[in-house]
Amino acid sequence: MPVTPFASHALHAAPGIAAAATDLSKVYGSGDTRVVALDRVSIDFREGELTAIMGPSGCGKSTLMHCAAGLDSPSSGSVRVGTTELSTLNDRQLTQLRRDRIGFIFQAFNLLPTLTALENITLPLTIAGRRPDQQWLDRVIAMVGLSQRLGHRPAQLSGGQQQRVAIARALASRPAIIFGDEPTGNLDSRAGTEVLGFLRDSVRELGQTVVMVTHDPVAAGYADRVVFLSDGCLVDEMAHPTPDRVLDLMKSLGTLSHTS
Amino acid sequence: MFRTALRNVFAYKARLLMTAFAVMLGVTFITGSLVYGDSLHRAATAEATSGYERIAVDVAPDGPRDGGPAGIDARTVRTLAKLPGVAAAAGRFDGFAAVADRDGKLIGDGTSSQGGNFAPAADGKDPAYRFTEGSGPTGKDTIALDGTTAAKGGYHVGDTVRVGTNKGAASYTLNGIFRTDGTKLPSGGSLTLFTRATAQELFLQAGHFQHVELTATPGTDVTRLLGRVESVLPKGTSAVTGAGLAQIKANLATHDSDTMSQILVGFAAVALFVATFLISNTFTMLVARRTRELALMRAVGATRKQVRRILLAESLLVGAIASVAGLAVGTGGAGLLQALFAPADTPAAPLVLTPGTVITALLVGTLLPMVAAWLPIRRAMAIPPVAALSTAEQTAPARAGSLRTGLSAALAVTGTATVVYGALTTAKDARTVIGIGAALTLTGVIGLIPLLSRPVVTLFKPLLTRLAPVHGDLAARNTVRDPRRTGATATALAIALTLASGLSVLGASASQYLERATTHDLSADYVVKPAGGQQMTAVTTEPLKKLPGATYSPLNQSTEYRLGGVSSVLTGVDPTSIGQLLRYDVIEGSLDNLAKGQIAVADFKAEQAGWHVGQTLPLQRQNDKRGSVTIGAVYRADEQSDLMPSITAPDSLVARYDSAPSTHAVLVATHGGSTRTALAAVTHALGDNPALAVLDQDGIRAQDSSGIGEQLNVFYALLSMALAIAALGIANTLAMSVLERRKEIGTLRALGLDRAGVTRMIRLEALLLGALGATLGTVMGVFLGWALGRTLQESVVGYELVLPWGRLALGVLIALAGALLASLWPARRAARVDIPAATTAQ
Repeated sequence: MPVTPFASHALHAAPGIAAAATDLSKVYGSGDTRVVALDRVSIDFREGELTAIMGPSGCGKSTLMHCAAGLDSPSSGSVRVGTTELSTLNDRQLTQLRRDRIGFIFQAFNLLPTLTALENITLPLTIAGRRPDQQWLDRVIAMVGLSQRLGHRPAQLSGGQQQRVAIARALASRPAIIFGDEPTGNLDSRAGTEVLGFLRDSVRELGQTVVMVTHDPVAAGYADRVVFLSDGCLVDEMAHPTPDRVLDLMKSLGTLSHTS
Repeated sequence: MFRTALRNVFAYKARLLMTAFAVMLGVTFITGSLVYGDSLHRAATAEATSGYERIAVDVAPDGPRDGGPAGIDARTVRTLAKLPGVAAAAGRFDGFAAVADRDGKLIGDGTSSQGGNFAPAADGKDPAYRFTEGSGPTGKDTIALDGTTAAKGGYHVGDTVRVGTNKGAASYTLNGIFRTDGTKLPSGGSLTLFTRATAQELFLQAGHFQHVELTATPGTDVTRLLGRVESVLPKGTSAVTGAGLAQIKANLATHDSDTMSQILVGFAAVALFVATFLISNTFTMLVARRTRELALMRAVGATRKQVRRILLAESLLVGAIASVAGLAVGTGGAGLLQALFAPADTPAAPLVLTPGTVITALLVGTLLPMVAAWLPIRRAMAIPPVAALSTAEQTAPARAGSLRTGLSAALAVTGTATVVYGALTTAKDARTVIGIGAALTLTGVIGLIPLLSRPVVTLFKPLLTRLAPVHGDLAARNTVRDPRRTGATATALAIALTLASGLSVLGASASQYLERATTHDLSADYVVKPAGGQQMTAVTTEPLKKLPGATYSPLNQSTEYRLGGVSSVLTGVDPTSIGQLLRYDVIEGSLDNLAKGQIAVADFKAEQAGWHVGQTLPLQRQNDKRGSVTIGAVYRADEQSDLMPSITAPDSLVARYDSAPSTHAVLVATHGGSTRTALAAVTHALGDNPALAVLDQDGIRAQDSSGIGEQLNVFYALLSMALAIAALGIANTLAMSVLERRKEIGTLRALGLDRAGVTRMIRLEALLLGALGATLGTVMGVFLGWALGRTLQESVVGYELVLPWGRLALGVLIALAGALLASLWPARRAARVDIPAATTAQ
């Protein structure tokens, strides 16, 4: 097992760090059925950056995201979002943190079928009982190009449109960080390209911090930074990636993990 | 094939549990009803017929109506006793005798306060009675009491006991305590034995008996004996064998228990009907969830028929298991019912589980789920094999089909129109028309509920969103997303509520009507009535004179008059006081004319006959007494009123025509109104007679409407079973819905809805389902209650629709509480959804 080469040494929130995981482990089961999904992973997600987490199936990339986003609780280690240490929060506080400071984009869109596009976009704000900042909302909606479809239900939208609604939903509450779990996994390449474009724009134009889990090198090519996970450990990192370089690295990691 | 079904049942056991539970409840209900009914029937038969083997032949007069003699004289008894084969002939009486306890209160409810005579045979013993203490009455002032009554009164041999009969009350010395059989003492009643002479004086006339019991010498053929007896009987007297008498008694006795078990079975049917919706719903949801699996079976080569067979086998299996359980629980439940309702002093009758009950329960329990699952299974058969390969999420639930909607709407409209027609028509079979209309309406509304769910939910939405903006809104949207499922779930509740509210409306209207009929016309403080609704021959009101400040009048009913050629009943009253005791609404003339020997006539009677004030009419009683009388007043009266007479006459007039009128009631007003002391004084003045009930206005109201209240409570208790099944249905639907919406709930949790919020959302959904069912049910129930009440209005003057708002609201509240209770478990499950797993689910 390689040691974690990119461990964050900043135990206190450093400026420019939106979220950070330190010595994060997640173990499922016990005894013979014990599975280590994450093995002392430490990583920083920098503000205003689009970070991609890559790795083969079962490498723990989704678990890392779930723990970092406060959806799942780690077995050990710490996660901070901004200055908040998640392990100190109870379920209600954790829920509030997700509501106010984290945005989500899911592979299967996860829109509420009973709500219109606009209602879906403002849902986190509605839950929080907050009024949406209309200017911001207009800007977000204009950016994802949904102005004409706000009254539609998810069933009346294409997959790409649904995911654009999901992106707008994630952006609407101006969260500190957005987590995307395979946001292009259910989309054809054209719609996927579109969605990735919006994600990059939200980082470039709106200064949003985005972390996405993907296994698609093309998607990773849109990121500012790619981190590679294998068998629950961070194994490599690449700044300013291109699809080709990512693919090459993955190939070498693939051989590496096969031979090890 | 069967093994696949078996495996599926086990695989889906958690989800099928609710179905099984619903079937079990239904079967429990029906088994319980049948077993309880059969046991009751057998017990009643056994009790009614026990002891008749002792009697070979019973001889009785045919009754005054058929022109028979008043009794059987002693000579006939002697003749009968001498017939060959007759061991003994015992002349007997069955009269009314009320026994007071030490506080002067009547023992028992007065309906079977019996009096009889001790008829010792040559050996000094009466075969009908076995003395456990003392012996039979020996003198004029002695009596014997049955053991239960003696125990209730705390009496022992030698004590003084106050006994009231139609001839007044007297104190007797208790000479003996006995046991007897059902021929003499119905359960819950009391029996007082007097000497022959006392009994004759109290119940009939000297030297006469009411009937004669003949016992046979061993080896006598009863049929031949009957022939011999008949040949010597005087005219107007007839004989029947002991076995024949037992049969007559058994028929009378079992009538009540049969009615009771019919009602129970009726409610069981309702429970089963409600359960059908739950079962159908469960299978619909199961099939929907298993689309992929069923399609896969089709893809690998299973035919449509095979798929159907698997699903049918599953429902059969669930039904079979549930019905066996229901059968067991129901039989136990019947035992419990018996223990609860049986009078304390009767031994518990053995439970009767007939093969018919077992077959019915098993058949209903196994067939019902199959019938209920039929539609969902048909839908499952339509699943194409290609659905197995589709990765798409579940197809959107089918909207209510337009054909179904149209048909249902047509049914509902036709049904409603039929009910309204039935309510407004004066035809005799109006209730049948309403019944048919109600069935059509119910079917139509059941079909329409999916469609109705949207407007009803919209109705409640403002309230919901005000209570809980986010959760309420989400809950409302979730409720209308699968109208068919929502509809089926709410239907079960709606049916229970329809019956409950319909019964409430009818009950409240009937209670109010009765209350009016009994006390509306009454201004007296007390009404003295014979206990147990017996007829009294002339209660002496003389002693009331001694009460300072008391005003009183008897209502002495005298029958068999022809007034101006019209058959009439005259009520003799005290003309000077009656105006202060009853509220006469005089339209014409004056009540003062009563004192002049004139009569006052109720408006309905006067209208019928075309009489008016000042008219003098010929009056004749039976065939002999003739005269004439003048109408002095006409007053408004309700024909059904218990107290207000149709013809009021001065008592002196009645006395001229009828030497023995029966006292229907005595009305008393005391100085200073109704008080406890006044009540005691009135009771004392009337001779401390336990046979007379002295009731104040509240007492009389309670007495007359308590029957309805008790019956309603039994019905409510039975309907609560249907409500429980409906609540199970809600729990089931919500549990399924939570399971299907795992991804959505996970997303909501991820986006910031906390656990409490999720719980609240599911609870609100349950409340909406409850509100939907309760609203529709209450509206339908009130409508049907109104319609049925209208048919009563024709025959029962003064019946008016009463909406018992409190009860209706209570019904809705209970339904909502049931719904809320039903949501506990699904809400918990929803709140505990594993967010990462749920959000990534496809």
